[in-house]
Amino acid sequence: MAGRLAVEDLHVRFQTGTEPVHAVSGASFEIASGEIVGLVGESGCGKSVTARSIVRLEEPGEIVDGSIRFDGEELTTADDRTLQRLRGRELAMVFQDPSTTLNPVYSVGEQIAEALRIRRNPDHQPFFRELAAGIGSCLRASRTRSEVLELLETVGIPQPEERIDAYPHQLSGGLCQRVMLAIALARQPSVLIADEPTTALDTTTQAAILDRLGELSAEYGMGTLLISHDFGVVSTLCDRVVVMYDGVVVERGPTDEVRSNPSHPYTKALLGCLPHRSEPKSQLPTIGGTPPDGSAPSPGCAFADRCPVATNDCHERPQPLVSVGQNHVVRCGVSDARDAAIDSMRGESTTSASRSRLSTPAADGGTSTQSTASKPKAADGSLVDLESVTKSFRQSDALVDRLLRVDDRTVAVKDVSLAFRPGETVGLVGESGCGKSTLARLIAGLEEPTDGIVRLRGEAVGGVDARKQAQIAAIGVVFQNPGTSLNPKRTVGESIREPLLEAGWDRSRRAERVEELLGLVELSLEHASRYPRQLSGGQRQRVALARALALEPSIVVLDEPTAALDVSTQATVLNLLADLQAALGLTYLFISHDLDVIRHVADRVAVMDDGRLLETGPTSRVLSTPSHPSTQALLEATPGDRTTERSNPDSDSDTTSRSPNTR
Amino acid sequence: MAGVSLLTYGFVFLTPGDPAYTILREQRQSPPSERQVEAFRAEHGLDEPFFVQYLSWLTDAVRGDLGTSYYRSEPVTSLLIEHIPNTLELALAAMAVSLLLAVPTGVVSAVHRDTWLDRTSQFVALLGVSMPNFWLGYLLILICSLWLGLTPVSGSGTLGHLVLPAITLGTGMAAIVTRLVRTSMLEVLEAEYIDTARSKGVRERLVVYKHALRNALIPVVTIVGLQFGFVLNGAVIVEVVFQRPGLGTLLVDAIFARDYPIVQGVVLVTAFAFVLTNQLVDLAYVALDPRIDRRGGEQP
Repeated sequence: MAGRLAVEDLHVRFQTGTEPVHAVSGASFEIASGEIVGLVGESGCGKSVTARSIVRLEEPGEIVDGSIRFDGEELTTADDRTLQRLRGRELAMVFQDPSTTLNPVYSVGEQIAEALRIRRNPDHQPFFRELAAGIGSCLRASRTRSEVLELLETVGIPQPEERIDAYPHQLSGGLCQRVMLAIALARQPSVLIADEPTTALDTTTQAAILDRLGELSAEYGMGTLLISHDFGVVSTLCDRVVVMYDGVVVERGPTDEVRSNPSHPYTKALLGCLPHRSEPKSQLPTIGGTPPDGSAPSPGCAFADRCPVATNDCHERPQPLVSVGQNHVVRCGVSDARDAAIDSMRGESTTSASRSRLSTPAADGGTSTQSTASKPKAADGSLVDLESVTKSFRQSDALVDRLLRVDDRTVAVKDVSLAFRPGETVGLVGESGCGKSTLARLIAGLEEPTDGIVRLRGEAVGGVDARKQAQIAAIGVVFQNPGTSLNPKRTVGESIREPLLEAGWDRSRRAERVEELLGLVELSLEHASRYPRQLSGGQRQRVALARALALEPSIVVLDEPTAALDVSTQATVLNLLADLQAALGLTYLFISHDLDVIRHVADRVAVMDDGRLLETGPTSRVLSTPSHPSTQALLEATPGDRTTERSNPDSDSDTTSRSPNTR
Repeated sequence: MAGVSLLTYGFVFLTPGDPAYTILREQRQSPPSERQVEAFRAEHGLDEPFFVQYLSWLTDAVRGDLGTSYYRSEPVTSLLIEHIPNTLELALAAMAVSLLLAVPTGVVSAVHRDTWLDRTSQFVALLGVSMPNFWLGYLLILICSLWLGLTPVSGSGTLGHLVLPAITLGTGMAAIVTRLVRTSMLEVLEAEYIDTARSKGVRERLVVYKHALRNALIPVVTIVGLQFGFVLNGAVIVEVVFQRPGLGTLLVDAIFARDYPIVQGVVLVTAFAFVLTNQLVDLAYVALDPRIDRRGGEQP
């Protein structure tokens, strides 16, 4: 296959304070015209760095070896002028988070027009004309304007006339990502590199963007590199898949091949972590051990430490590339490992260890039993009860508006009634902006309802200020992004201790409880003195969970607790949540836009759309035979599930035949 | 504003030194008699209790009458109007000097981070912050006016008179703004939209000046607005050094002469200027940052 873009044995290194970190150590793949290639791996595996190296934005990293060729032209040694031309006309990149990748101070029209101007003449960018172009917010040149409008239409932005002069903050995440796509398409590129283009978006928007991406790459004949940590996303769209682990391409081949017959132990493990492959409520398979940090590359296979079937040879010698099918190669020399079943890759050791650790505090009559003991009290009724709750927000807080009583309110939650029984997990699903998070905040008391009543153990409660200490303690909250919900200036210990301090616990009891909590969430005591930035995403979310559990709540509100995490980390956090629920008798409100996750954890599902509760019911019924059309739309938008499992009976039978073993 | 007026009035009232005594002695070149002092006090209402004095001053001030100078026997308002243009000229020139110096230096520093260019400009900026205004003023007079004979030593009127004071006053502020622009630029250059711009094939120079600088200036504008107060402050010293007839010289003379109405007038005007610049800063924000709601407050 004559690839237009060929990456060969790429090595990228980061110079850190003490020693260099090898982010990419030997990545090779090709992309042909009109082909969509998926690049999969967990965060930190070097896939983004690889993508950025292609457009030579690897800074602060440094390409130390290998080559990147586009149409035979070497990019690793290209000068600025060549790069400008190639970036302007041939290689376009779409980044992950549209809220940070568009310049906030220029209108989207101008940002697209700029790309058009560069496309026309990359070598001629008059300094002052460009500066002036940025200052006037309206595009004047009618030719460019109509071209921009056309592009906006191409990427599926409704009413482009109204949107062309809008600023990024005035558009939703989905629209912004479409604008990014328009900027990329303005260059009529030969190769489009999309770095996790839909990770920051909700399911339906994600599906729409991916569809559009697929159509466009066929239409324009672009080669596309789609980077994702989500196998579902990749398998919906891609012709071929490249799997990376610790900077090395461990397996590559046609998508169907890799999915039905994964050959590298890591690929198997990754596929095994997907929640929809497992029985609901079962222990999810995880990948044991922690991913390497790339500081000291082992001479052998990087995955060897986590690979249950690794041999001594694996640790010591680089593994050969083995061909296991047409265009399907895998970097693993152990034939047993290549043939092993997906289940054998589960991290048995961690799960059993966590179980034993968990049972201790519950069994020794420690504090955690109290919460289980208090459970029967409320068992007869519902724990939390929402009675036709409505919440609306003022759109403008301007004094003038208030004086004139201009009442332009947006209703975030409309007339929602929902009850939570002790010990159950309620999944709350819906697109972003449907009011899920507001509902969570209402329960936690962070917002007060405009109308309706929130009851806790039968008592009506107001906002946090009006709640009694015990009522506050009864509800724990975990937010979506542990990177921002933990105070970066406080150690883990201080963060966990804070609710205890507020509740007036004395010093020795506090210390004891922090230790106990860290144990509960499977962190060691030494983590207490670390700062959030010294922890991984999964560890931070555990800390957030420990903080939520500090005052022995009976209900924990989990607002997209795993959305910011990798598949295997997600699996460990979900397992942990299940264990904690079993040990402490917790009730969960689990908010997620990922239906696979919901299907796995929830007893009942509530579907929200535009502030209203569409339907509630047992998970299996709602997600298999939804009664509401909106739920159906949501179900259909989930990538991965439908296409592969329909088009690929092999993998389907694989899943079903394996499920009993997963328990 | 009302708070400021009360505070200044209070402070001036509490300062030691009797205006009647000082002014009369100055006028007659000999210590005045007890009765003359009494008469002066009665004439200017200085024998009234504090709050009566303050209220009568305040009611006049609202009508635009800031009283009459004890010493020069001229209305304070007209004295202020006479002196304000000079100070405003100096302040604006100093702002211009500092921005012209600081923004490019800050940008260059940020772009060439940790190179000798960056270090040098950081060092110069440090010098600028540390150097007292009056000292720099005398130094500049010494070098430019006395040794090189390029500019007049003191006075006001021509552009030549403005150059040295503007540089003197501008450098201190430039130093602070340089560091600010640098920090802000460094932060913005890390942003993902800068990578987006680069990946579009935008020239590096345009990436810096078109995509990064406008974002980086947003926090800088706040500080520059606040710095305007600092400039007015500095103007007092610089005007004295260069003998420019501005608000600063007026204020200093008035303080030495215990000419209370003038002191109060100058402080009031300064406070007013401060409030005004902050309003202007808000307007600059709207121009720079589209995220600030233009409709806010303007709706009927």
